[in-house]
Amino acid sequence: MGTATAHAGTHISRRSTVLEWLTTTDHKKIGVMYMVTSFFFFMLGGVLALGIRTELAVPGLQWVDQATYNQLFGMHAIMMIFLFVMPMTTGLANYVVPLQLGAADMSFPRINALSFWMLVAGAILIVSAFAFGGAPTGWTLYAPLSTEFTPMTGVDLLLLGLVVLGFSSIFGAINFMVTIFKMRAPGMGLMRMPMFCWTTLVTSVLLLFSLPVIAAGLIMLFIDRNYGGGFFDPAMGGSPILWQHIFWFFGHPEVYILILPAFGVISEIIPVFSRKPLFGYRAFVIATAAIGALGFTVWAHHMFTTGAVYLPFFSFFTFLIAVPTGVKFFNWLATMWGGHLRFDTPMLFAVGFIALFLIGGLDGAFLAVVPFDFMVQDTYWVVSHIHYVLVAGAVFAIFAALFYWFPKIAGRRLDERMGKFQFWVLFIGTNLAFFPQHMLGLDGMIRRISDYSGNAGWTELNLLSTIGAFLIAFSVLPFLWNVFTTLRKPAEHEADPWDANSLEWATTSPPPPWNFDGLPAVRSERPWFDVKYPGVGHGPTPEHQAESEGAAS
Amino acid sequence: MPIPASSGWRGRLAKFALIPVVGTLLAACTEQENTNPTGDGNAPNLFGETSNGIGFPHEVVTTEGIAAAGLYLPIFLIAVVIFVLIEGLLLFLILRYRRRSTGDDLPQQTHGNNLLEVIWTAIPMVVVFVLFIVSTNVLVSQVEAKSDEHGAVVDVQAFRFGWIFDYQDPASLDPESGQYEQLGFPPISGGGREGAPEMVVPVGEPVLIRLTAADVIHAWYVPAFFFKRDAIPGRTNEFEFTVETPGVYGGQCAEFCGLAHGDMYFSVNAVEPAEYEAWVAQRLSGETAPAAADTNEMAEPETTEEMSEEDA
Repeated sequence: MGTATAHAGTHISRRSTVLEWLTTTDHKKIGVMYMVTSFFFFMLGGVLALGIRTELAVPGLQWVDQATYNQLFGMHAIMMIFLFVMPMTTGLANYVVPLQLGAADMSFPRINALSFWMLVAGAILIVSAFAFGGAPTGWTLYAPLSTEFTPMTGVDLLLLGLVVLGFSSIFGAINFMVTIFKMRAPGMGLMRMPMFCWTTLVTSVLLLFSLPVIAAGLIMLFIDRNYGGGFFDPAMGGSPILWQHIFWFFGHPEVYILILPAFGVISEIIPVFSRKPLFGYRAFVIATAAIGALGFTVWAHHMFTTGAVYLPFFSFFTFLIAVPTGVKFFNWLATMWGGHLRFDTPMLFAVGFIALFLIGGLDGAFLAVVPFDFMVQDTYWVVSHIHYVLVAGAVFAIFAALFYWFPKIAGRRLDERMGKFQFWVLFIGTNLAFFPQHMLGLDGMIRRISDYSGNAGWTELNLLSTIGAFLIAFSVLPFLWNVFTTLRKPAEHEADPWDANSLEWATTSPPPPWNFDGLPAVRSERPWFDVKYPGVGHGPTPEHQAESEGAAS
Repeated sequence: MPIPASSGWRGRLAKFALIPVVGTLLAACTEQENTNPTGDGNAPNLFGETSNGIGFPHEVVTTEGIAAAGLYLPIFLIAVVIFVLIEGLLLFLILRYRRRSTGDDLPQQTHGNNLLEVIWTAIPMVVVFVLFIVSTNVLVSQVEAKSDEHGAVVDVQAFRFGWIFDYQDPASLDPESGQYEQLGFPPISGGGREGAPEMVVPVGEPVLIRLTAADVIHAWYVPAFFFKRDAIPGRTNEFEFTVETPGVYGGQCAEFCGLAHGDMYFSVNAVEPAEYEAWVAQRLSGETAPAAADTNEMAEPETTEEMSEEDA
């Protein structure tokens, strides 16, 4: 397995290295570029969040005026969702999925490169909106606020940028689906795929179904803005509610697009660091597919207060989503039960994910109760919910994944002590920032306001929340330092530092451009484990053997 | 949702809920005078005593709101039980199964257990189904219930960045067209931080609001009514509330509507019916209360045509 050293040893000049990265179609290099780009936007979006939280720390307008504030929260959301979490999980999947499948690359390497460069183009369009009046519309772009009442070019640039990103993700989704269906190693039936591949597959399906809808909607909005269209203008027979339907038909699956890859990451890490197989693999697959399917039946729970949707239907399906999510929780816990748990940093983040995502699940279930939603819709309760889901959920899982796969990507492990320090700062910061927002929401503090009365009794909680936000921002610094110092250390090239299960650990770290010199036979969902522990890996009873054989065929 | 009115256990629970996280820090800041239109006298909390004893941490004063807020306590308790069970189990697993040796030994490789998995799918299914039934019942039979007679009918139009309250005559309902006639005094309008308009309504009688917007989407939100509803251009949303306790209750636009969204305040002043009649009579005679920040001269956006609600 020493092939990578031969590759790395070839002397290349700096210029050709740059050119090589710019023109690469290697899924691993593209994956790294995705991750680096999205981390940049994580920090940029984080700076915007600090602007929001600093303004809200105490009553009164101190740092920014209302107009600037209205730019901040919309751009924060757009960057974190479209330029951080989505490309970050796409980057992880780009790097990891072909390796886990035992493939040499994605099915369409050039389209893969195109997807990445379209992301860059879209990101430039979105960021350039700042220079042209910005986009004071919130990330939801509700018409007619986003049509007649925001004449600045910035909104048009934002719309175009989002359309470009949408097509980038559509191409990516097709690429992943074809790769997963056509490029699996011999013996790897769908029911033997690593869970991260499963969640990537379901995510891709969600992308493919929801993105064309929002792309069409964005173009309709563009026509309304620039060419006298009236899709969303009641004076011309259009309907503002139509935009909300289009937006949330995409917007709710989008939430699962952001969180399903996180579920996949956690489902990779928990078994490895418990030294047990994932408990209830089949139930897990079904739950993932169920969450994906139900994700398309609940969009109007974002519209309960419009008075224009049939409430019981959307309430029912919103409740129902709690069930497959609960199955995942129980399966993770049952995987840990009786295991030999190791708390290296990836596992720490994974357990932190379980502990905190639970809060995001519970406060979300409250929102399915329509009369309660009437009270807290558009308040800080919802802000708290979305951040428990996307920070305690997606961000924790992303850091878990970065710590877990960094040795594969860079040939070196990140420093454990610094990683643990980062985890605890992030853990405390997340709770400090977002837990008090529950209480603010119950007390009627609405979102998207830059100021509140000093007599409202909200000052202390807002201050706490702001301190938490700064702790979260601070927790990124040890990570950057960790990556920087680790990359300066000599590489160890450990192929399998975590004693893991799936095929990406069966090749060198980093893998050669062609990924594998040879593949082990795939007889279960843990092919690399089976190689290392012959005889135990495939489950203790013959029934399980027969079961997974049957499923694989 | 009736909650047994034994203040003993509720009091204990309130104390319990104050303990975790930052609750204790808050106890210090409850005594502040509150003039904010959307706040009330209680400190923000997850759980708290309200004057009507429904266990919701913000005062709720309408019949519909009290019914809806009654859902909060049972769901909160279910959430607490699930939270404690899962976090407890997680903590137990972390402590019990932490690997102690560095040996290469493997634990037993369990792949699953069908019975267990069916159980932990079925139980949440039952819980959410019950919650759905109970909450939808409150929604349909109480929150969205309609009455035939109204103490007041107010056409509310939201605009950037204020409100117009146009009083209609409840007795003038034409059953054919569903239209009312104006009560006969000019609409009350105002907006912004200083000129927030006040809607006067009678206590104990259902008030019908017919809500629309002149420009972009807004939302009519009064936290003490446990209710908000979007104001949408080209569409009229109707809802009712019955205030049980006289008082002035602050409200605010809850749907982001542009630059001064955060200043789009209003308030609802609920008074005894006799006082309400007097107020109406005073209005009809053309006098205005000297204290009221009245901006009747403010240009009224042209009335959007009553469009059919089928555009949804």
